[in-house]
Amino acid sequence: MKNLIQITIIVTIGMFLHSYGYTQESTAKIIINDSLKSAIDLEGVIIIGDSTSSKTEDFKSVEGQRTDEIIEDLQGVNIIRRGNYAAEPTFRGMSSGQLSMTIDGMKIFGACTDKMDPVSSYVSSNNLESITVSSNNNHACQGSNIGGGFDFQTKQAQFNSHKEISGSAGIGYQTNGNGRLADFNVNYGDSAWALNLNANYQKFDNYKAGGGQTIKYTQFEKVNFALSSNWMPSNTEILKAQFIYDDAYNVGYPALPMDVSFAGGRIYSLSYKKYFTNSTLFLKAYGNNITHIMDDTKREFVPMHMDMPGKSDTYGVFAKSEFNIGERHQILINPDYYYNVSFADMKMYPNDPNRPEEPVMYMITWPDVRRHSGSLLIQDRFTINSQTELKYSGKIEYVTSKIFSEFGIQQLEVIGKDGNIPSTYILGNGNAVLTYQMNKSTQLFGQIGYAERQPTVSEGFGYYLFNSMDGYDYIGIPDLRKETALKTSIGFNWQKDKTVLETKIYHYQFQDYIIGIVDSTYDGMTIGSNGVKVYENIPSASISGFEVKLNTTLFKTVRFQNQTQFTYGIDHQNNPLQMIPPLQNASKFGYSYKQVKIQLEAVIAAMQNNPRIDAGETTTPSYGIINISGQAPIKLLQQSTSISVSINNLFDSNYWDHLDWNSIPRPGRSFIVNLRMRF
Amino acid sequence: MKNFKYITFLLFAIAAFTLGSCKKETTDPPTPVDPFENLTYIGETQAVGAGAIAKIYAEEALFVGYNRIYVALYDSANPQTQLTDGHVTFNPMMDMGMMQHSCPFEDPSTTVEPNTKAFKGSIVFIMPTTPTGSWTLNVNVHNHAINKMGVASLAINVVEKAEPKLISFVSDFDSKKLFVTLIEPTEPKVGINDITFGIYEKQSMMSFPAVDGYMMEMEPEMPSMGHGSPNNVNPVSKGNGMYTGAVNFTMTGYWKINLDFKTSSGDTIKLDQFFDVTFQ
Repeated sequence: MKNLIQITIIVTIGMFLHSYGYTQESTAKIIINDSLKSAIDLEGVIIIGDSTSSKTEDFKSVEGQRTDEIIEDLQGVNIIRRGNYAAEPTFRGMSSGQLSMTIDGMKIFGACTDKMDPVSSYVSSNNLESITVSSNNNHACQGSNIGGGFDFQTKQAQFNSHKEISGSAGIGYQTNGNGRLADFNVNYGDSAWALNLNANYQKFDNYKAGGGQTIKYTQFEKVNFALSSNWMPSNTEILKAQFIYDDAYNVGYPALPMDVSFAGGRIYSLSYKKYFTNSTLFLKAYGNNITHIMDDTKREFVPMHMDMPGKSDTYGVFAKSEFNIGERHQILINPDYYYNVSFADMKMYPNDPNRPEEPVMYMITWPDVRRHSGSLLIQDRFTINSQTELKYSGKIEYVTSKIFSEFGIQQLEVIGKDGNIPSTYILGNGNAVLTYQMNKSTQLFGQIGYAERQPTVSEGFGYYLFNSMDGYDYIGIPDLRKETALKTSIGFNWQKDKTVLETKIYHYQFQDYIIGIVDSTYDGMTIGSNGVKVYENIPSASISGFEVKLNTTLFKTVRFQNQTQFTYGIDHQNNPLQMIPPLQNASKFGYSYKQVKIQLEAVIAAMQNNPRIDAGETTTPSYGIINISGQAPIKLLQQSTSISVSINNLFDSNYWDHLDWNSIPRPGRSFIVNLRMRF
Repeated sequence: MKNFKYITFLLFAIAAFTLGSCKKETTDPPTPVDPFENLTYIGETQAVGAGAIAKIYAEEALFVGYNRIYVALYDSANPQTQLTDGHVTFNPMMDMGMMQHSCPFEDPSTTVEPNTKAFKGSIVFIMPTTPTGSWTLNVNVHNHAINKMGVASLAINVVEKAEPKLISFVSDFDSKKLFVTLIEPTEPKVGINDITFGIYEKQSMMSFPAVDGYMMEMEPEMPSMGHGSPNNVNPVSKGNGMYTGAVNFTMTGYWKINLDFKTSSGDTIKLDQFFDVTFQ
């Protein structure tokens, strides 16, 4: 796949040279910026970034924030934290294999058997254009899944920007954890050619929890580069090349027995979009290579030193074509193919002084699983009348996974499975959303869908993967049945003047829900583990909940936003599901005068007294925290510069969320200063 | 358009390279295979009186434990001619000066192996060669071609393996002196392994018959991590002192195979015996 990188480089350079040749003769072009954003999702597209007119813009400046902090603000979203870095997003109590995670539509599968490298960790906050979180049609393009998912859209190189070269640079400092942040962004854009280079650097030491206790192993260091270039060879075509380079070093995970010495992502793509009179065609080819190296060399009390490297390589290609049939039907056709290779192994170094000759112990935790997936999605957006629209879609996907490691196949014999047989799934997904514009200010919607997903690599092939939350080693089963769900949601959106009220309730009814069940015939492998859980399909489970969001203006000058979310999940025996967030409420007050902005944020989470005991969960007390931030312009070196100051966790509360593994307290009070210059 | 040319060119180059590397495989002329290639040569000697030379092979250098022994007979007048019609029996002897003893063994079958044309049996050496004790392998040969008998006596060297393949103990039940050998797996691997033990009783210095009908309980363990493995099958008696079962190793490294021995009616013979197995 080095060739793909070469092609990307050649094309990027080629386009760069090409643009110089054509700059002079290029005339005004029709297309301004192709954001490639999908149509507004009824579940709510949440857009964050400085180039969009998103409503949240007034409420929070993203400067100096980290990607997972931005994600956590989204409606329906919670994050599972195992450390201070790379938190795993969950949506309505669903995580991991139930969600798909993409960057600009590209499928990326983490290389960490402990899910310590969610896709969100490969996008830096200053390169983030928007995040789409959805649970219906829109998301079907991103893979067959139950709960929907996240698409992280990165910054595009901008054509026709007001200056040929523009950009920004920022530096920041965070007192708690001695956090050092720096980033810059440069955009070159003329009418036919545009290039954007983005860089971000962060380094944090251990933070202190509320009350002053230092939380060990919360440090990390990270560097992220993103290069994207757009080229318009003609008035109706756009060619885009993209490369993301992300490295993280010495990442601590206090909730786990091991840290990460290195995590790296190399993500690259080439895409092409063509506009016809009544239709569009979009093609994209991409690849990514994710490396993850876990070890415990920095830990003090280790019974036995271990190395656990993992890698995940994904290559894919997809097309999207949109066209109209008559006046009422807008059709989307989306064929998709991807190929993923996952491999992870483990070396354990015995340290018995009586047996110095004892060799290293070795096993494979992901046995070189190679997965092919091909799918076809067809969607129709049917305008029934001026008030009513029906959007319905169907998707069929064929996925086949096979073990290519002979060693891995032998390992499977231990649990009585034949690893030579490929595991194959045919997945069907269907969804329909009806929207009805009742009157000028009120819109109602109802959605019903059926979804299926295949087991993840860990669920299907994982071999004694230790989960420090419940203290069990997990074994995957290659012939698990697919997990299916019926999902419904209804809601309304009321909008008048500057007030928006959004409410939705949802219910997911699962069948063959995949979960780890204790199997006492197995002996735990990890030192001190409680035993072994084997992934199984349980007959049923359900998740339901609601989300309410209010955006309004108080006293004519203060913007007010309130967001409430609640999720409830039970299995077939009415036991609570694991990692279900408690009732949460977040309020934001925003005041801005000229370019001065002040924001106050209050987050309250109720007690979670419904833990899944056999998953190692305990009751989590309620908490409330207050954050304050302000931003003001200053004149510095004749450039447009702004300074922002924030105080996170103003009252230095000692708290943790129900989804924080092993109840590791979150950071206490922290002052954050950020200085930004635009040019 | 230049860029498309680049891409096209590159794609062609990749395709050409990929296809080009799929060259036809050259076939080597078949070389005659030495049937003893995979065996270890132990030594050879005249079977005095039988008109034959006995060449002794084993699967590896002789060790304390269960050794498969191959005896290839050649006509002493015409050493290129291998003799396949005969009858071979063993009589291994340990000479310790003050005393002599034998060990458990299984005489070869009266027919030769199809591949090596050798007579195959087994010997369970119960101690290594030491400065004060030496092993002699006596092979009684009956050459059917000329109907003559003789003995080939060969001094052999037996070593103790770093990881012993033989344990011995006195039965708590009936005070029999017992020897247990770990025969398989000779090349352990991660995954499921067939496991075979041999059990022999010391009746006298010269008599070590195989013991059948015991019950064995087996539990593999990784002592440095404190875990075992699932889905093991306890060895069961298969006759001739052989007990076969299945052992699972979940990873490479040092394993301890714990064994309890009982009679068929459940009386304890011996508990807490073990073999070490280490592999990478």
